[in-house]
Amino acid sequence: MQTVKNGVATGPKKSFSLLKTRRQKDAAFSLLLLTPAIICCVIFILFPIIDSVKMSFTTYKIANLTQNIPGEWNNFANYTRLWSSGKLQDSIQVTLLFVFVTVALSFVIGMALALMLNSNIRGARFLRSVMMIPWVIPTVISGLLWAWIYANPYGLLQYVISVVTDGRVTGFGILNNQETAIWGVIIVALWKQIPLITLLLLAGMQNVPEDILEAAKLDGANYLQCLFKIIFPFMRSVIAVTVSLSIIDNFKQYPLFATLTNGGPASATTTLAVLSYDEAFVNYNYGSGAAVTTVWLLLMVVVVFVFNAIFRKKDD
Amino acid sequence: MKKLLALALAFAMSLSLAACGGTPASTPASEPAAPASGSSATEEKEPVNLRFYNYALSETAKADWWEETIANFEAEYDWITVEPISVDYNSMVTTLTNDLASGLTADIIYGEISWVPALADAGFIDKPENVLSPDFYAGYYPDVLSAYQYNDGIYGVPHYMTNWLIFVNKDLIEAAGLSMDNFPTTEADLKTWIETLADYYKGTDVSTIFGMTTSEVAATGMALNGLYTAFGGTLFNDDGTLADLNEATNKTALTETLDFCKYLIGNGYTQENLKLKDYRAAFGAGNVCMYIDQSWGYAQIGEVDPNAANFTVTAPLPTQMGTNGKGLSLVSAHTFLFGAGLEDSHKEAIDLFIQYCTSNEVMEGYLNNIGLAFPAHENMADVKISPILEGAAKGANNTVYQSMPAALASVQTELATAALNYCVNGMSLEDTIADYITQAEYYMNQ
Repeated sequence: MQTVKNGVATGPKKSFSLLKTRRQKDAAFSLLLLTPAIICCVIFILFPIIDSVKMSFTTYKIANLTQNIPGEWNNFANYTRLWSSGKLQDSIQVTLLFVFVTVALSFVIGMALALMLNSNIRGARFLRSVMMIPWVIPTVISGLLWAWIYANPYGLLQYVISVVTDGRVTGFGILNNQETAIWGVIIVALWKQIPLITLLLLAGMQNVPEDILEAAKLDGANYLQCLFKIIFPFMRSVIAVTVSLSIIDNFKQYPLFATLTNGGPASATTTLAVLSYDEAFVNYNYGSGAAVTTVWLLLMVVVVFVFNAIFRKKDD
Repeated sequence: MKKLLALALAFAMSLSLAACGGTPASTPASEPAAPASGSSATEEKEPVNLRFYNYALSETAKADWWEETIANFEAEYDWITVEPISVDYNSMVTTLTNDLASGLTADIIYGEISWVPALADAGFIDKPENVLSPDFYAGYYPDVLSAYQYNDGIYGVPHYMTNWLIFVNKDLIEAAGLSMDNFPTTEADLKTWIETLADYYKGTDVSTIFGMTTSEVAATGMALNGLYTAFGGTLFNDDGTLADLNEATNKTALTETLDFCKYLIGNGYTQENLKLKDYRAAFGAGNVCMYIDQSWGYAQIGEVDPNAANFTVTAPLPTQMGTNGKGLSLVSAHTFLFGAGLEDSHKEAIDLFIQYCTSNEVMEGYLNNIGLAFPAHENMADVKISPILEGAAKGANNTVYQSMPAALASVQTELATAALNYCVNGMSLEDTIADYITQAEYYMNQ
């Protein structure tokens, strides 16, 4: 039977008898509720990560996997081998270039589109629906679609360029050139990711209080002042989440590289994801693949941490 | 009460999640079907089901042929069923790893010679001498069988074989005033042909004068290794180690291979970084004069233009390539590999199936219309070769095999990177070769 004491409801005395205060009991109950999720996280996320990190310090080949032979400790040989070959540094460089350019451009373009869609232009709802199509298409299908557009010498892009330049430019294969290949992948990544970013930013934008905006306008604030002094500050948490998601999403990007360039030409688009796959599933050196994955994970954590730290500092 | 309900709900949800990701309670049964007819042989035999992993099923023409062949085989040997399993070309080892770990079996794997190291290291495949009947096994041509040597033995048998050859568009050649009767037999003459064709087709829709793939994929690696071999080079020693690429003959061959690629790309006779399938499509569309490929590349040419046979002919690589090259070609073969640890009844059924698929009657149509190639077993010795391959047949005996290291595919694929570095990225020859050796050693020493 429930009783009321000092305005606080207390439950049956038998349950949680060791816990004295209501706060302790609530904490215990919360922990109990979280237990299944924690168990799932430990089994399906933490253990595989630990196993992968452990594997990265061993010589672990396909025979180890198929015949259940434990990997052999190799004194960081996977890391030193990757480093001395230059593959690790090159792929880190390509990964960072891809992530920063894609995140920056997708944020700028996404914000511009969100501002447009938020300005009550005609057909905004229709545009919003149509715009989501690239995001809805599975990434592998998007990659194949763009591989066809980029194809040399029979792709759509090739044809358009040939028509626009009146036949003066032929044989332009954006993915075939070391200098341009990464930009070819970035264009596809932008095409795919901008819709979601726009939608998230638009949702945040629509939560900016109208009365504050109106008050600012009455006080004589112009559009840019409203944007930088009111809209963006109100959207800080949405921007932080959106950019964090975008960073993580692009760090993990593999399907686009697999379908468009497979890391080439001459390793110009070999990101950590591609290198990890190649080491583990092309050369069947799982230890080396795990070493790349470990570096990849650490780098991603560092970048997201730095981004959040900068954002928090500005908040303060 | 609410708390208890919430708790129960949380546990129920987590359990259902775990159930979604769990392993199946039992492996999918691959129980053989009951014998279809009541022949005397059937009554004595226990039904056998062969699980046949085959990458070629993703190509329509080949899939249709395999379906018909399997149906005919099952009708003849009605206690055996063959269960075809289509696997993506690039995912065979991963698929097998997952399937075998989950308790499934693989009796036959249809694929490439270059898959042998990974599958043998994984313990997935057995030596054919342990599976096939000795008389039949002895019928394979030794030169082709040698290509399957890995570590302690032969791991696989060829279905059919090819050399590296040149597909030629007869109509384009003749329109430019050239004749297949005088097809070049030296590198110098080949270049003269290329330049004649380039002059003739300047400013036309003919996109490629002489196609040579340089895309960084395994098939291109094989093609470039084939070209390097034709120039007189050796990539691997007999013991499977990396050959000394600074040794005079090898260095000359590698230099001449890279120079030949630079000659083609630099002058616009071929495009950089294209795959074989790109050249096949362009050749089928009538926009390529010549290109280097394996004989079965014709399957994709024929998909673009079913009447491509009217203008397609082949020629062997010139027998004088560079300083030391004799136009030798590496053997390529589509391949049967056999699962490890099979029961005797399965081995017997596999032997019958392979013999069935290696007969004149079954293979003549295939080798002439679907996957053009040359026989690799004396049981197919009387197969009539496709007229398209008549030109290249002269080179079918000018072949050589190479030993296989575990890193075969990667070491070969790095040749494509070297070609791009030298031809497109402006790297010097010395640096390109030094970089190639570094990269090749990286894979060899893993």
